[in-house]
Amino acid sequence: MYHRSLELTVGVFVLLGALALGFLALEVSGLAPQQADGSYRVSARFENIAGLTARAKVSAAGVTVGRVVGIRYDSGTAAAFVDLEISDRYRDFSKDTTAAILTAGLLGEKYIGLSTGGDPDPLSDGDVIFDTQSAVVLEELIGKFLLNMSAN
Amino acid sequence: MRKYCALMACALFVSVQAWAASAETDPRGPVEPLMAARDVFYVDVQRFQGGELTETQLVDRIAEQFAPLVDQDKMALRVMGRHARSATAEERAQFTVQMQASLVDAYARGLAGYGGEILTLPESATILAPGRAVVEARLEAPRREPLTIQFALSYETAQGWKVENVVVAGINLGISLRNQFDDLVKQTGSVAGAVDSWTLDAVRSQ
Repeated sequence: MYHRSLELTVGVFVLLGALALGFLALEVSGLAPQQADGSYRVSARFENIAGLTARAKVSAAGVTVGRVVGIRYDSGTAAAFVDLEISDRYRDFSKDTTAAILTAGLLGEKYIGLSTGGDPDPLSDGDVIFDTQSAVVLEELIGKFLLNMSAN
Repeated sequence: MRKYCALMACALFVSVQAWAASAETDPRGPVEPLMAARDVFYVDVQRFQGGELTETQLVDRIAEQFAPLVDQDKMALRVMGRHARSATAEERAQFTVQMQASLVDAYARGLAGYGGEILTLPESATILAPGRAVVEARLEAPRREPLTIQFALSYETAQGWKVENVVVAGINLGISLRNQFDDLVKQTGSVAGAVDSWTLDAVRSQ
């Protein structure tokens, strides 16, 4: 009887642990199901997205306001277009909003940071953000540093 | 007669619209004002080196050539960012003037360090969308890696193509200046304080 209740307790504990791990994995990877509220889509053009993936966070002032829902390469302009889905609750981004690819911590995940501008017109569904700051590529930085070193 | 006038007005309207539409998508359009300003700059530098112009006259000439290329109002709003919403119309107007002054200051200091760099412009721009373009230029100097400069331009029927941002070696100056304005607001405690203290030195010290 004692053994049975002990086994049951251990079983429940292991199950709870597995559930907690699963929840953590979903939250960290950004795959957790979202609340079904309205959203609008905009695109942002980047020269280089280096490591940004679909479902990455879109944040403004540290608050998650949306997700990356698509990434495509435009061969005409040789640039990457990133599709962003922004929650309807955040409708007050201006037309001259800028987008930057940022890194959480030193080696963390890539995400998009939005910074609203001063234009009185708001960003609306289908708009494209051209004013962007692309990702910093470590190899390019090292290459530039070495070239400048050799020039000096 | 009335019918004829209405027909003429319609034809005029359609041709103006067609001209505006073609101007918005002509890839040579955004490059031409940049080329013209650059060429005048080279001539002015030669005149300065030959003693025909003083340094002050040269800076004034450069400001005259480059200031009309930039959409000052739009750029000022862009740099003020979210603070533009809480700023008064006077503060926005004052900041436009301050920013223009800091740009002229930047030209002057850039000139002091001019070492024969060559700005290479392409024959045509990349049209991103009607009325939006990027010009990919290169600043070449002896014994240095060429610097990539991207001019982001937008088209307004009344003004033509105007520069609204510059990206130097991947660094977006508009975003950098916006962050610096934000820091100045935090430092001074108000938008008015940031506008008052906006100078090239204040920006550099951030």
